[in-house]
Amino acid sequence: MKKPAENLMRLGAWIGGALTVLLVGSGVVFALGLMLMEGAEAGSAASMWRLLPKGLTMAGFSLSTALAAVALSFPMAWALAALISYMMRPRAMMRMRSAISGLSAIPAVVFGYLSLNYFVPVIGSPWWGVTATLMLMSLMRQTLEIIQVNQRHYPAVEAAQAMGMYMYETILHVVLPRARNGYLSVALKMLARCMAEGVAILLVLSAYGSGEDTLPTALMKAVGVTGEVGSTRFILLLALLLLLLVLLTNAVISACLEGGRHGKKKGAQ
Amino acid sequence: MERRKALNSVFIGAVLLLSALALLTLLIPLFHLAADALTALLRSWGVLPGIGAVFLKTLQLVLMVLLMVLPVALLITLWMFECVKGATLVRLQRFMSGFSRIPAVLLGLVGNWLISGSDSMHESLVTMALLLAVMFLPFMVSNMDTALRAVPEKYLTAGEALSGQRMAILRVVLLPQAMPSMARATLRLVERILCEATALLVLMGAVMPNQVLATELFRLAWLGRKDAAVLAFALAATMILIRLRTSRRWRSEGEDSNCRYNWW
Amino acid sequence: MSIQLVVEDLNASFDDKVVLHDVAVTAEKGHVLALMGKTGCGKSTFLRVINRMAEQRGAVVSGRIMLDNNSIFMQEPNEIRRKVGMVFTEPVLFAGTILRNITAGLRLQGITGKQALEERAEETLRRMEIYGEFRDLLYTDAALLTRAQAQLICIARALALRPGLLLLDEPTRLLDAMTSSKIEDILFNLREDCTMVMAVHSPQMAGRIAEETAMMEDGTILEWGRTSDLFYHPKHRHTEQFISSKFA
Repeated sequence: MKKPAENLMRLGAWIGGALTVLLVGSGVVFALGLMLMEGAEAGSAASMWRLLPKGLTMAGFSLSTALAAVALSFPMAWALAALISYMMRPRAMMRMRSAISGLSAIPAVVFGYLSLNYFVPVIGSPWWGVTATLMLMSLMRQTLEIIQVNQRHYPAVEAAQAMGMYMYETILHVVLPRARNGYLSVALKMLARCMAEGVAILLVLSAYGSGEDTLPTALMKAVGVTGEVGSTRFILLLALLLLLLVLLTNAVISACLEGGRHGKKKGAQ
Repeated sequence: MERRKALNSVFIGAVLLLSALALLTLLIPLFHLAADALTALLRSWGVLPGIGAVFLKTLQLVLMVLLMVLPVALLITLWMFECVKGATLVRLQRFMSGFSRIPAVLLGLVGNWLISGSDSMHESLVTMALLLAVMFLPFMVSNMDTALRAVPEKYLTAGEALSGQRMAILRVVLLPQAMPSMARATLRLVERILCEATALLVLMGAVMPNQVLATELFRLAWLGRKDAAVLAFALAATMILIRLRTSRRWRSEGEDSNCRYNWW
Repeated sequence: MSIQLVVEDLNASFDDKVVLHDVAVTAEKGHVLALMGKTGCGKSTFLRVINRMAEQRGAVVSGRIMLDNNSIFMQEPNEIRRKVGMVFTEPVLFAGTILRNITAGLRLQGITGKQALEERAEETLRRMEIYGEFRDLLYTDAALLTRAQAQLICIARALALRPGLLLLDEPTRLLDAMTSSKIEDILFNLREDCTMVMAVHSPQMAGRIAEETAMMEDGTILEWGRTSDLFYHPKHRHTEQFISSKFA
């Protein structure tokens, strides 16, 4: 049974995160208000409120594809990390880890190229195309970070081995309860990274030509990277929405890490 | 007991299957990329001078950014180490690590707005270097600060016992001790400079030809050119090699940290 | 040239906790003064008070500490550390070659000429009678040395500054008996050039190389005097017990 103090601390962390979002949100509303008070652009009657649904749709596309990518890639990354952490001999583990590290260094633009040439031809839907690209991008990075999380709990795994536990029992009863927050923060960091990804997704979406966009790709297009230029208000709206999304995710990551730290203190007691 | 063993076998089977899936998902496209790159190269060796020119420009960009970032980052790190204590230090450290989470597209946007009056500055290498320097300065400060503070107290004590002035101890004792970590951080910075395309594209406000590796790859891929495969392969190979260089320390850690289960 | 150390009415405290209380000893020029006592009795703190490192860690110090009739409190800490070298229990080698380690103190004081540094390193190693062992290794990475070699280099590093007083904080505690014996011989041969104050972890070491020995307990000196007198005619029960190691 959890102590009330620990629950209170977790609640405090979440409230802190929520307050951050609220404050930033108020800042956004304030900035939006300022924009509304500005003179309309020459030849353009678009007001911020009419642009907001479009911006929110793009935010939804960003968030949904990123969530799906992380949800699909995390189990694979975790399995690969478990194979390396718990089932390989030391030398093989070192070599594999080096190789994974090398693969995780591949730039996003290369993943965009890979996805453009090898995934897009077989995936008809832009949403799935973007998800597959993000999944490809996040696979190795997640694996590397999960290995680091696993290594922190080696002493506990050793103790479990000494008790005669099988691997699945150790993972379920020993590692997962302790490393839960670590895994969650890995997933959330990758989520933030996926939502902010621009160039790789722009390449993929260009192949579909469906008009759907994530926040970063819409921003890049609006600035003129692909030839079309959007209104200043639209650019500002997209920038603010992206910042809000990233801050929200970071607040959740911080709250999650805070909860993990308090959990560790409780364990130490 | 038999039930546990059976469950364990199923679990290990699932782990092996998912791991194989993870590896194949990435390695198959990479293999195709290598094949396409070789085919494109064999078809036309003439792409090499173009790629060489882009490599050179990228190298120039990397050198410019390093020249801008490293001295400033070192000064800020030394200032933080010597003069900043307590809550201010914690806030500063959090700011440095938090700044790197700002999406590159937003930083590119700010850069674009700042130089909106001048067309020539949009594709200037100096402007790109300045933008990347601002983007990566906090990252470098954060890494250098961590490296310096990771040096054990005993080195500082030994330096003090030799009657060194504080700055002399930093220069003669602490910085050399922290140098391997700082060198690794510098290589990570080089990786990030080479990978950065989003911020540069937004800064340029268009896809300019013959710029740096990452933006040139984007341009060639956008145009559907076959020689993009050569550039993609070259960029991926460069990044993998740099990363393998920085991950050498794991080779000494493997013996101590391993908790191996049998596969059966 | 060796220095005389005179300590009178020395008191030191950290955060209102008294760690040294009415300490009074004298180390004559060219002599070795050994400090014995159980762990936590204040030997290391005493050494760090002499070169004013304890004050940098927040200690409040009062009393008289004279180096050749000059009070340490009238001199800058860095000035004192040019005359007073220190060797720690754990050998701490800096990044770089063995030569760079030996000459680290000189480089910290602004001496950078390559020839001057090499000459001083050679002179120091010859004084210690270990030049032959390290002559061909001067330009190799110091990280490759064994712990025993590392401690020898740390001693050389301290001696390269030609201190008049050398403070040693249990320099052989982490070493094997043979290496400890070698270091003891080196220190014994060097005592005429350099007064030494050494915290020892075993009374036998004090018996082998120290002219005077002080027995410490709970931050105070129980008794001190000629080593032979202390060992054969100890006045205090704790001293007798410590020397005969009756604490198993």
